[in-house]
Amino acid sequence: MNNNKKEQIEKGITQLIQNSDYDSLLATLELYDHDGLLNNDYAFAYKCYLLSYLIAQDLNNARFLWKRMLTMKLDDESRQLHQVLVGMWKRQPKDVHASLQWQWSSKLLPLITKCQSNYRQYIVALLSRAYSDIHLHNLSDMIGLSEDEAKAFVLEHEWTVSGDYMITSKSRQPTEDPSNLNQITKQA
Amino acid sequence: MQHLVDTIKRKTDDGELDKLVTELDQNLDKIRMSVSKLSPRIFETLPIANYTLGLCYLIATKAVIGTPKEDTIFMMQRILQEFDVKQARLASRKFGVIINIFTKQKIEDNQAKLVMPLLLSVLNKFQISKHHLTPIHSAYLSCALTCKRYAAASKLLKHQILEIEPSITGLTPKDMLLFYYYGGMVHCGLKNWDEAVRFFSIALTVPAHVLSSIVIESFKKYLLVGYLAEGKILKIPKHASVVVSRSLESFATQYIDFLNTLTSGEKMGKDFMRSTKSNETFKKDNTIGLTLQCIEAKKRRKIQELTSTYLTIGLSNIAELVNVNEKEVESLLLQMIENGEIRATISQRDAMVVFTDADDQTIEEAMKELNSKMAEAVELSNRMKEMDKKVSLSGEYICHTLPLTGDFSSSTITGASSNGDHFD
Repeated sequence: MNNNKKEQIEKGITQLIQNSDYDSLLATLELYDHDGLLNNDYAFAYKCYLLSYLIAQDLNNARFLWKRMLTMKLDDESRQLHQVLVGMWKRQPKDVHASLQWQWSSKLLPLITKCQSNYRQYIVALLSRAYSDIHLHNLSDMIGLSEDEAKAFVLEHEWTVSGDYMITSKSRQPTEDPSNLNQITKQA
Repeated sequence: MQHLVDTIKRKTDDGELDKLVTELDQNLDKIRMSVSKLSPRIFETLPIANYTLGLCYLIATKAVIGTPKEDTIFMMQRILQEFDVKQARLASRKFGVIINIFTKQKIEDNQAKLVMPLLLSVLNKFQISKHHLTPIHSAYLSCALTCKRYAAASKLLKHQILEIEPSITGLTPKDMLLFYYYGGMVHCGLKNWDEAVRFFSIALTVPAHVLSSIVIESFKKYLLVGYLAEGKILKIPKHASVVVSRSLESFATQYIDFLNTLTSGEKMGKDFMRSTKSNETFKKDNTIGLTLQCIEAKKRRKIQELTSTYLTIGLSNIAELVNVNEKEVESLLLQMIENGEIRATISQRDAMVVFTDADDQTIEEAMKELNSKMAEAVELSNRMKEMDKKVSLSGEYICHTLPLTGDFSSSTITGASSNGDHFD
């Protein structure tokens, strides 16, 4: 009976991963967890749960989930996920990218890819906000790509090159829609 | 016992629930003497869904006598699973006792995580609205904190508490204090410092005639998260009770001294960190984590102060002023920009930082924020109107105002009688 329940839950999780519905995946896992449906031996479910928090950049809840997972029997893959969390928590992008380079099980790969991609986008957006210019070597470390790949990546985000430095794009574009302006005027 | 059971049956079947409450309240000693033989077999005679009121009195009375045994815990669980809402609200104080004792026992038995779904379903069934505070709130938060389910706890805290009706919900001052204390702790765990300050400050301002240990603990956390949120030592709110504002500081002298050192402007070395980690008071109060975060926050405060003096400054200058190395400065600045604590742009080429003004919001963002604030304001205004109407129609208010105004017109008297309030 317990195996049936585990299979059903894993089937549901796999379906959500296949649909790339990561928000629903997190909401579903939180509900299962709250209602006591996740037993301590549901390793796959817990790894997906932890990854879902990392994808959502919800590091506080990821941290507390890890503390609960410590009561379970943990495999190497779980511990590697913890290293990813530690890197994100300590704000060390280089360590995050290094930790994500691992032999992940095929079932987890879609989530790992999503996590990596989300994190890279997040870092680029942060660097755009925080830097006017950044050395290519540092950029490459922070987004986990070689220097050439890093250069190509940020050029797609409207950055420019100046010698060894990448100049960020301050891409805050105010909306030109006049109806929004009219609404604000009316409400004022 | 048989007499009690017969009374409960008879009065409930006759629909005389108010009279049953009065009679049970007047015979609590008799109930205490009879419940030693109470067992789950009572449910065969008194099904829970039909006789919740009477069962609440019997089970709550048995639960407070010594440590509840397995059959008492079982009875409490059954009643929480099958209770009738109307009857439970009439016996709200006893229902609240059952909630609290059941939760406490389950936490001691390391079963907090298993109890959370039950408590949530009880809450959804029992509460009058999402804005009413009940004893179940603090019980749920207590379980959530024990088993580190902060996500679930924060969902509960999203609903703003605007009403307390102890006569219906059985809420006690302790339940209220615990709710705000636990809520503050949840926000501490999630690093929502502003919300944590708000929750702890509400705990400090609950009206009181004596000082509670919950208020003392709230104050200690209030001081620490106040520094994390605002970079200063917060004062006790002005509207706290006299007994609270007069005596509270004497219970938190170590915290005040610690924060005075932080805000003094002195440079703090590794000794200070070491002495904080080994401080016995902080260890006993489990606040070492928060104190260490306060020490870290001091560096960030210093950088924030620089934004009001400098437009542009070198990374090496910041490192010197804040007493850290240059690499750490860049990492700290990046963190602060990420958290929205400062607005700045770093140039690695020039090793300089330019502090900027608030980013221009896009019009869409401004619209979204404006609409959400306006919706909040409209809801609050509607609630104020409802409360104003409720107060002006209450007998107590009319009794107070009549002698002052000398107005005996029928319009003022009609309001009081319309909701059944009694004049003294």
